[in-house]
Amino acid sequence: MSDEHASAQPQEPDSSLLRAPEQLDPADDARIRELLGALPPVVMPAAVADRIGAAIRTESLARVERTAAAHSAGAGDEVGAARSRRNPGARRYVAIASAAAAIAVAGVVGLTVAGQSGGAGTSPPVTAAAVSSGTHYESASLADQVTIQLSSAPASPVASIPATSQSPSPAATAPARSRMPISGTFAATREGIADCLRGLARSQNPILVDVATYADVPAAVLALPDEADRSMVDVFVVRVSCSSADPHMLSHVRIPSP
Amino acid sequence: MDGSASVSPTQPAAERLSEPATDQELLAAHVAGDPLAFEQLVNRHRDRLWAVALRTTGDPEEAADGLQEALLSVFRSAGTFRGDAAVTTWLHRVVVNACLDRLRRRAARPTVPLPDEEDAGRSALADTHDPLSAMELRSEIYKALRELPPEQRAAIVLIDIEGYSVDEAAQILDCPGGTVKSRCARGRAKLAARLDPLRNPQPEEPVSSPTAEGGDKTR
Repeated sequence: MSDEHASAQPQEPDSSLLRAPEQLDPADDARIRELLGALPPVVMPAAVADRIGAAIRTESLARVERTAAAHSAGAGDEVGAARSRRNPGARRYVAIASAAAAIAVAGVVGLTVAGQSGGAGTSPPVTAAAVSSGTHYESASLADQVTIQLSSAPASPVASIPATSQSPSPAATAPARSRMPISGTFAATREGIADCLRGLARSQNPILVDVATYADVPAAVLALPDEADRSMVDVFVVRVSCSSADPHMLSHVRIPSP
Repeated sequence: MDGSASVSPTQPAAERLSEPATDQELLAAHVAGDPLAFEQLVNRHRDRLWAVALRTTGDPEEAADGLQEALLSVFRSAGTFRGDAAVTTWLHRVVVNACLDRLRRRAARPTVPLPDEEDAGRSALADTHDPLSAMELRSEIYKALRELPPEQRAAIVLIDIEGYSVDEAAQILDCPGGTVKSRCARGRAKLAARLDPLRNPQPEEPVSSPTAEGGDKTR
């Protein structure tokens, strides 16, 4: 049997290879096998693992969006909603994909908002890391989407953004999903979040602040521990104009703490 | 190797925490729409896939490119998997083919290796904590492997380094078992010719040992 691709070797063979016999005697053959078998195992470097993971999540997100687009093109909202109710698994897939892929692809805004020190005593203690996950939150899947967000740690340490900065720029938040109006005007600073929480009459430290969209509207999703029942989480969806004067609340749900 | 249990499309494999899903279940879940199943499947086998890609190409950049290309190809064509081989075998087959294709394309467009290519390959392949002599030997082994024809190299990587059986390697390489054995045998012969002079340098003159176990064995 011949090796038909032998001529495809990338480099000139060493002259010793040209003199090599076709077969070794059994003892020499075993010796070379032993030598090869003793090579240490290799582990995929983290950079390669990250790169391949990101490529798969991007592909996964593209698939989910293609599927969603095909569904919405083929049926009206009512039909789509009915389909979603009939097939909660499919709905969950979309929710998980949106959340998981967006976390990896869009990344974290990295707005670490330290609690106010020496500020007004009535301000909520805001220490949550505000993220811009790129998630398209929807009413039907809000609970699932927030659950996934709360369960997923950022892939890389968040970068610090000055607490006094205003909304992050779209380019900095979601380079792979630029069509999404992600920045809005939500003041994702410690002052802005605290002001919004006052409008919601809440004083807990949020465990999630996600500047995203809800029903295709720029929005912020805030998750707060339920003070009365620590096994539950309060989730508020507000317009990006949320303030103490008017929180502009779009939705409120309670979900089990993940 | 893989289970054959069916997968409910309404139950993502990632959610079934009580018992780990089989490879086949994860692939079926991916086909059914589970967005996390494929990455879970890849993570399960990534080190072995990486080892095969790296040792087949002999170049970390080529290996990463080939592996990514292969995995995305599997992602998109998962629905065509008929289940007549183990999922891991299929994964390895696509990865090896992608790597061999890259080597053939590279051979058709010869390039001058960058000066630090050898060092990059060595750092990715060698354990730097080992004694220098062992490192040097490994470096020579990797160098000799890179000089083999790609098909012989792939067979040796699968069987002698990664420990697959001849049957598994034959499925991965999509050729008869006899061809795999032949490629391995001839590849080993070339490796021996390349490595033996380094490991056992011939003395200038025959030297008879004056000591030990009866001394000179001349007859």
